[in-house]
Amino acid sequence: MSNATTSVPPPTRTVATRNLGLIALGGSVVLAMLGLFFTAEDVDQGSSVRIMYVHVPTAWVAYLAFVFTAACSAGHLWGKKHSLNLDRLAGASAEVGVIFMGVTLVTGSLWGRLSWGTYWQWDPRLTTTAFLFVTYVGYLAVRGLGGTHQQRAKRSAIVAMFAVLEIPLVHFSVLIWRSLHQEATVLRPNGDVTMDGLMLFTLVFGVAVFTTIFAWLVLHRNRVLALLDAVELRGIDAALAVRRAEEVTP
Amino acid sequence: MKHADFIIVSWILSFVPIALYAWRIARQARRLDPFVDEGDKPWT
Amino acid sequence: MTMSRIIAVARAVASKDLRIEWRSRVMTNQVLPFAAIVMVLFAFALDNDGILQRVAPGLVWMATLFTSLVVVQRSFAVEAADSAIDALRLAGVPAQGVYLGKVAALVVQLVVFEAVLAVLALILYRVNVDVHGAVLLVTTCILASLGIAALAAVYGGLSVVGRGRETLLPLLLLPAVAPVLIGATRATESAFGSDGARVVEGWPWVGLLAVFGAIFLFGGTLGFGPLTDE
Repeated sequence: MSNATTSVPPPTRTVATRNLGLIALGGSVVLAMLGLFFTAEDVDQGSSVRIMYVHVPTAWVAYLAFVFTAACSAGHLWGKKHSLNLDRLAGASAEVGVIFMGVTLVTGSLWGRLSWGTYWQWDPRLTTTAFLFVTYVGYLAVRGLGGTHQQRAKRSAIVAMFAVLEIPLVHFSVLIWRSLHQEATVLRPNGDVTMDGLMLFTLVFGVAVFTTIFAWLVLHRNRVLALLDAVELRGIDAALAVRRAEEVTP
Repeated sequence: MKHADFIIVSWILSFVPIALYAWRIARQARRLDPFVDEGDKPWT
Repeated sequence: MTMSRIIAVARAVASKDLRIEWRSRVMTNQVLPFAAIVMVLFAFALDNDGILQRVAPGLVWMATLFTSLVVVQRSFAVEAADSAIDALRLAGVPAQGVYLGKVAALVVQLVVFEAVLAVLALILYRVNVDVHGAVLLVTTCILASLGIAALAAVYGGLSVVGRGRETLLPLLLLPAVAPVLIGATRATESAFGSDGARVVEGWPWVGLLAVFGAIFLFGGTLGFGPLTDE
């Protein structure tokens, strides 16, 4: 970060987010050391278990992000103030969630290539994750529909509520759909492994690190969205002022 | 690709998108900041 | 706002929609040929009688989903034109009634299309149905249409308020109706006897369709008003 424009701290920074960012950065380095070098290989999976130390935490964070989006949306809909900040938090969380879910799908299929021999398998968990990804891409598209901020907030909150209803139904139907088909007889590990102390610690530590990254990103994104909303409002006010000035002159 | 490559690629693909996203929102924040009054920034 | 008023509004909206479609003939002259050509194109793409017979249920429901996108877009294009939806809002009628009316009209249209597609499958893909299978098939069609329509009316309403954003509908609707596709296809496999499936095996899937329809009909009744409210 040596060039002049980026050396200025971002205007969304506070002491809290800076410390959070430093913890996340340091945690990531420690996680990489633990996950790539210090932990032993798994009995069944061999070294491919090392993918799990990033795959499982990102998956966890992605699901956490969508639960958080749903909670903020519910808070917006049923709260007395219909808080726009809750709406922006929901949007920020969904955006970060989509990125983490994309990462989860990519690392999951790389792990699958090593363990199953294929990049994709119609595993219920994997399929639901893919559906969740597309559903929240749609949610983000709804956020971009335009209109006033209150309209955007209400619309996207309702779509988020629908997404919450959809996901368990999709998961359940994929689950019973798959249960009808004969499973291949070759060893198909599903990602659950028996772990020794350090491996388990690394996994839990990874979850903590990625949750910190999530909180850090959402805080910053939420503030950027507030800036965006403020600029939009200011733009309207400025245009109104110009129009009023025109009206007075003749 | 060798076995180890998959692992390295997985780790890179986990952190790079997150870093890019963080960089993008920081840039957006810097671009927007001059147009916003201090009163619209409750976190400051 | 009483129940009877909601039902009266729903009936009025549904009959209005169906009358528009009946008079404009867009459905019979444009959407129906579209559905038929999709079925023919599947046959070209797969090019094997045995495979066609086996995957016929899936093809029927894929064609139904594609057609439903056109039907729903049309149903709400009617409301967007001349800001008809604003007039509907100004009339001060309960939004639940408007929603249920839209859903009812969509269900009727979808069931008609499914019937045509099923007949086409019988002819083009040479599948067989007995009496028990036909009962299962009709129940499946009605409940699957209800599920699709209940969700599609909500997302269709969203595409009206976000004018000119029709591309949003497939993105929101198709992932959400995946359970309907799974349930309806499996039930139809039993009805057609594809892959040696028996008719009784189809009924649990009908249960899935019923649950799906009930959940989203309830959710849509609550959500449609606030969603289209400006």
